[in-house]
Amino acid sequence: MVMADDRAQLYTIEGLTAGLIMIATAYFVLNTGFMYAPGDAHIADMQLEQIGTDALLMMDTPVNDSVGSELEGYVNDGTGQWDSFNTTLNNYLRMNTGATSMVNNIRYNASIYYRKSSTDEVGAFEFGHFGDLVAHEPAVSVSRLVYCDNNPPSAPYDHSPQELIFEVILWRG
Amino acid sequence: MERLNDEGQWIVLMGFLVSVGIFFLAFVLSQSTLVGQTTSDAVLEFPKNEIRDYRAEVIDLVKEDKITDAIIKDLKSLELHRNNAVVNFTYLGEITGSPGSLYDYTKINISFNNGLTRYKELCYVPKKK
Repeated sequence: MVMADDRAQLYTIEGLTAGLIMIATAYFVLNTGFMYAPGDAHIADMQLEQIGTDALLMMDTPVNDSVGSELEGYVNDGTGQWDSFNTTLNNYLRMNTGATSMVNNIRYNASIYYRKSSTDEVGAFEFGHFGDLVAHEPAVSVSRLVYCDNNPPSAPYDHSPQELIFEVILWRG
Repeated sequence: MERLNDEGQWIVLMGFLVSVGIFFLAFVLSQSTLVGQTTSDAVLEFPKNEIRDYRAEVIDLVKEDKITDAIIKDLKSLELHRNNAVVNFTYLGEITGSPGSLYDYTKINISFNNGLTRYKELCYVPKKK
């Protein structure tokens, strides 16, 4: 039997320490939460959402105190105003300097949500859509509350005046 | 007992420092992707535009005296169903402006809560005399 002696203790301790450090390093590297989406993946979504919000805000801002906003006008007329709404929104979403032309790839779908006074449920109907209803990338939704004191025949409202949510889903097609 | 050999201590020390450095870099790497992910998530989740929209709408309605029970019910159920938010609105009375001032005020309380973000505002809505 070989006698255990007490030589080279510092080397033993060093070896042990190095081993522990290597194991800990390997643990941290393997334990890293690898995400295949980079951290800025949502920045494009945020920009689209901001463009949409700004366009609706512009549409919902009246030119002066005595008239309603453009958006109120469209909503108060039921679905009949889709064409003028479509033109205005397209115009706002693609505003440019005139010196460049932009690729027209934003698509959207607009719906109106209202409360049914008998059941307190929320109902919805489609106001209109631009482009095919095929979303390629994650869509974002923007909405505005709109006051409506008209009961257009093309809309299923059951009380008036009322508050509606006008919601636009935007995506890049 | 043989004496411990104390040569080459600088080399041992440097080796030790380098290994501590690698360990530290591995730790930083393990944290970095998580930080990017949670930051953009937090920005997207914050309901800035929803709160602004609700606040602007309520203040406009109060200004134009258009608030009715039905309107309040509409606001509450629409915000609950479409924005996952519990909203409330209370009248706290009319305040007459001092003599010579241009405005009277309606005092209202606006609140918005979507479970993560809570917003509360005491607001004096001016009305021209």
